Amino acid sequence: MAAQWHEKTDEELLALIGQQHHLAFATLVRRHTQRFYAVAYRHLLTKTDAEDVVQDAFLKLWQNPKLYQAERGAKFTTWFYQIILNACVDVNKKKKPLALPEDFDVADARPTALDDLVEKEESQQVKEALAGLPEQQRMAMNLCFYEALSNEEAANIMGIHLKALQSLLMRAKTTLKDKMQKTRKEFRHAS
Amino acid sequence: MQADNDLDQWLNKLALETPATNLAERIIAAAAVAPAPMPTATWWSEWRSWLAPAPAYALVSVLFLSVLAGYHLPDIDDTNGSAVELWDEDFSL
Repeated sequence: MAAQWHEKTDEELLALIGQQHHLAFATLVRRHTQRFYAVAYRHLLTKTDAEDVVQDAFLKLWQNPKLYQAERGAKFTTWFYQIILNACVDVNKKKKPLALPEDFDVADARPTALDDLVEKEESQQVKEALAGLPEQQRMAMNLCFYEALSNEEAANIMGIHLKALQSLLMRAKTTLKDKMQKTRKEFRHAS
Repeated sequence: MQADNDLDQWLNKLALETPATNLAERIIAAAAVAPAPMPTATWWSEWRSWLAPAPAYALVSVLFLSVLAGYHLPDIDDTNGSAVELWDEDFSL
């Protein structure tokens, strides 16, 4: 029975969700939560906000499945990327300026603690660099680099022209390269 | 080109904080106690939505048709005298 659910497409599951099939909803949620959480996290850069955005979006879909209109021709994932990113923009509007998480743990006694610390440090540097990007540029990097979507699909999700998206990506990469080189110089000075 | 590769490697160092205690299961549990979804339209719900304002349609139709047919309230002058005259008659003892 469970295998049957997993074979269904997103659109078939959504049709069943419209008939209040809880199992169809559960299948859709299990299939996509991690992906949309990742998108929300890379935009908001805080775990709790990202979790809230994804949970709210799925619950709204459960309570009103008609929000997704299959006849418009958009894939469920394309449409839901828009929902998630719009929700992220709203969250950022409410909590400007962007708060960076202070999630460094004190190094523990394990032999790999130093490696962990270096990894966390690097992750934090990337996180800060992304947080410093304008929202549209961050969104473009999120979709094209991390989600590996085509430029056309990303432009469609963001509701902008392809040229505009390419321009956003170009500017974002230039800024990020500068930031990367700066942090590497600082690291060399420190060591 | 090398700079692009370096950038890609650097960006891949962004680690995701894993969602707390199984986000998907929490969403499913929340949906189980959330109000039931609005069912999608069926032929009878479509009909019901059309029929719901039927009394309003009927009233508007009657008013419109009565205007078309020239129907109006009886003119008070058609009785015995105008409203003022009737008033006078009632109270002039």
